[in-house]
Amino acid sequence: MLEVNQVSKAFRNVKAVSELSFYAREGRVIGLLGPNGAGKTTTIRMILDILQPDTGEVRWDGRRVDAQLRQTFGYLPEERGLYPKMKITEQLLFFGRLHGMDGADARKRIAELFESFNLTDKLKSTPVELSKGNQQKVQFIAAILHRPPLLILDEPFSGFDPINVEVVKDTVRGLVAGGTAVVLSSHRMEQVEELCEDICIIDRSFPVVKGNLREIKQTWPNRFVRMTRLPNMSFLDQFPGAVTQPSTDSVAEIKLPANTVPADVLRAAVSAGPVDLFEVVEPSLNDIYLHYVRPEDGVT
Amino acid sequence: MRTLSILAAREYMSRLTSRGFIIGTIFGVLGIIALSFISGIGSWFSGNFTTSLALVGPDRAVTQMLAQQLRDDYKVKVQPYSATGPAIEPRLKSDVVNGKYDAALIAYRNHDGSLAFAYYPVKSASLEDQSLKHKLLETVVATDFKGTNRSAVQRAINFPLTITNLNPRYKSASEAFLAQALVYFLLLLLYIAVIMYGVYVGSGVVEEKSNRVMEIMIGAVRPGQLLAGKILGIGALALTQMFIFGLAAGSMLVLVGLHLASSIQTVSPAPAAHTAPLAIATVPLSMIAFLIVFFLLGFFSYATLFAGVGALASKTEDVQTSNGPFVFPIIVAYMLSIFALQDPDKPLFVWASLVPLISPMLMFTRVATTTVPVWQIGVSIGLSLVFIWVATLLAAKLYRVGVLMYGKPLSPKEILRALRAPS
Repeated sequence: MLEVNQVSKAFRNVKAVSELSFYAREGRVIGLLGPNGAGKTTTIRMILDILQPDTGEVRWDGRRVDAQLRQTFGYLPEERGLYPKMKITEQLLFFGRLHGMDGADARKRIAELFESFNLTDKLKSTPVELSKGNQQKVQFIAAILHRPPLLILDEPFSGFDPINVEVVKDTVRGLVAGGTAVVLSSHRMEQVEELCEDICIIDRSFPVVKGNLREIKQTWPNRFVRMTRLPNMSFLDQFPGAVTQPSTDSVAEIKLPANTVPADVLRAAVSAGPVDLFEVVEPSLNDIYLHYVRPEDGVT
Repeated sequence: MRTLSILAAREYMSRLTSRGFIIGTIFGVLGIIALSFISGIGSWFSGNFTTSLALVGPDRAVTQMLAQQLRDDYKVKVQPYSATGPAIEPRLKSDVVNGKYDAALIAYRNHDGSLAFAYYPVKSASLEDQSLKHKLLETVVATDFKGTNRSAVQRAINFPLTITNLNPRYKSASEAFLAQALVYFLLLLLYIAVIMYGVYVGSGVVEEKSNRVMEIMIGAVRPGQLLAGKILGIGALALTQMFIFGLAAGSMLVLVGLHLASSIQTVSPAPAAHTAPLAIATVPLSMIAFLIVFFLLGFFSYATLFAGVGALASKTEDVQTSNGPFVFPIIVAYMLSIFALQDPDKPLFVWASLVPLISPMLMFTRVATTTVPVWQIGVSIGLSLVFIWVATLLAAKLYRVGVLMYGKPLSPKEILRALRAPS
C-alpha cells in the first residue's frame, strides 16, 4: 500500500502541495483530480522520489520510498517522449532493464504486450515511423512492462481514440485485478469514474475532498432527480433551493438541496401532471468536482 | 552499477550505430589518409626553403666539390679550416645552436682515407636528410670511387654519415621531427575531441529533455546516474573513434614509411635506418599513454560542465550560446600549447600546465616535448581529478533541478540556489 502522509512542498514561496494525505491500496485505483496547477504532478514526483517533500513522507508497504524502491514502480508521465530513432523494442528492453528486468523476461513480456496492444507488426519500427496513437501505446507498455506493484498514470487517455481508450481501460482493469495499486490522474471524469474506487481532489495545493467514491456519492448532501418534463414545472416553486439544470426536452434534471426529501417532490409532481419517469440519481464525479473546485476567477 | 552500465551501453550503442557517427568516422579516416599524402608532398616542397649550412671539409678539393653540390639546396658557408674527424668545433657548435646556421656539415677522411660525414642539424626533417644523402653520395662517387668491383661500389654507397641533433632536447634528428609533428597532430586531435565530445554530452542532455524521454527516465533512475551514464557512454564512444583514427594514422605512417624506405634502399641501404619505419617504432608508448590519460581528463572536465549547461537549457540552440564561456578555456589551453611547443619550460607554461581545464592540453604538450618533473605531472593530474569530482557533484545538482524544467532558463540566482541546495 502506498501511503502519502501529510506531504507539503513549496517552490520558493509558492505552495505546490499542502498537507496532502491519501492511500493507494493494492487492487484498487485512486483518482487524483484537480485543475491544472493544483499540484498533481508535484505530488506524483514526490511519490517517485524525484522531488523531496518539505514535510511529510511517502511510504510503500511501510518503507520510505527510495531509489531502489521506486525503480519497481511504473510511471506514465503526462509529457510523453521516446528516443525518436531507437527501435521501439530496443527502447522497451532498455526501460525494462532499467527497472531491473533481465533481458529474456523483458523480451517475452514485450512480445505479449505487443500482441494485446495490436502492435506485433510494428516490432522493428522506430517511434518516428509510428502514429501518435501507437507511440502512446508503446509509452504505456513502457510503464507496465516490469509488472509494477504501483502504477502511476498521468493523463493516460490523452491521444488515444475511443477504441484504444477501451484497450487501456481493460489493461488497467486487468492489472488491478492482479493486485496492482494504481494512481490515476486525469481530467477525463467519465473514465476516472469508471475506474476509480477512491478519489482525492486537490485544488490550489490543498486536498478538498478524498475517500471512497461511492461513499462520497451516498453521503452527498444534494440529491439529483431525473423526471419526465411536465408542461408546467412550477410545482417546484414550493421547494426552495431546487434548481432545474439544463437537460433534454423530455427529461428534466433537478438538483435538490439537502433538506428536501425526494418523495415529497414526487408527490407534488404527480399531482401536477402525468409522471412516467422519476428517479433519484447520485451526483456524478463531474458534479462533485465542480462543487469543490473553485473556478479560476472565483478567488476571494 | 548495473543501472549505470545499462545507461552507458545505450548511450554508446545508439551513437555508435548512428549515421552521423559512421559518416563522421569514415570522413575522419579519409581525412587522415589525405593528410598523410599531403604531408608527404609538403615535405618534398620543404626542400625549397633554403637552409643555411656551415661546411667544413677535409681539403680544398673536396670542400669545393661539396659546396658545388649543395649550392642548389643550401646556403653554404665554407668554414676557414679543415676537418680531421667527425667532431664539431665548439665555436661552430654554438653558432649552430644560437641560430647563425641551421646546420653544420663536417666532411672528413677516415683512417682508410675514405670520405665520411657528420651532420649537425638543430631542427631537422628526416626527408631533408634524405636529399642531403643523395648529394653527398655524388661527392663520394666523384672523389672516392675507384674501380668497378662490387665491394668498392658497396663501400662507396655505404659511406658513413652520422647525424647528431644539436638541439639538446632530442636524441636524434628523426626524433626531433617526429616529436614536433606528432605533438602538434595529437594536440589538434585532443582539442577537437574534447570540444566535440564535450558538446555531444551537453546536446544529448537537452535532446532527452526536449523529446521528453527524461520524464520516463527520471522515474526509473537517479539524475546523477543519468549524468554519469551519459558521460561514460560518450567517453567510450570517443575512445572508440580515436582508436579507429589512431589505427588509420598508424597504418598510413607505416605505409608511407615502408614506401620511403624501399625507394631509398635502392640508393643506400645503411642510412635508410634513419627513416620512417624506425621512427615509428620509436614513437614512445608513453606518449600514447599520456595522450589517452590527458584526453580522458580533458573530456571528463569539460563534459561535466557541458552536461550541467545542457541540464539548464531547454532547446539545443540554448546550449550553443551557454557553452560559450566554457569553450573559452579550451581555446586558451590550445593557444598556450601551440606556443609551448617552442619553449615548453617557460615558467608561464609550467604553472599554467597545472591548472585544471588547461592542463590536459598544456601538460600533454610539455610531457611530449620536454622532460617534466614527475611532481608536476602528478599535481596536474591530481588537480584535474579534484576538479572533475567537484564539477560532477555540481552538475548532478543542476541536473536534479534542471532536467524536469522547461521554458524559461534559470536566472544566475536560481542556479546558485540549486548549487547550494543539499543533494
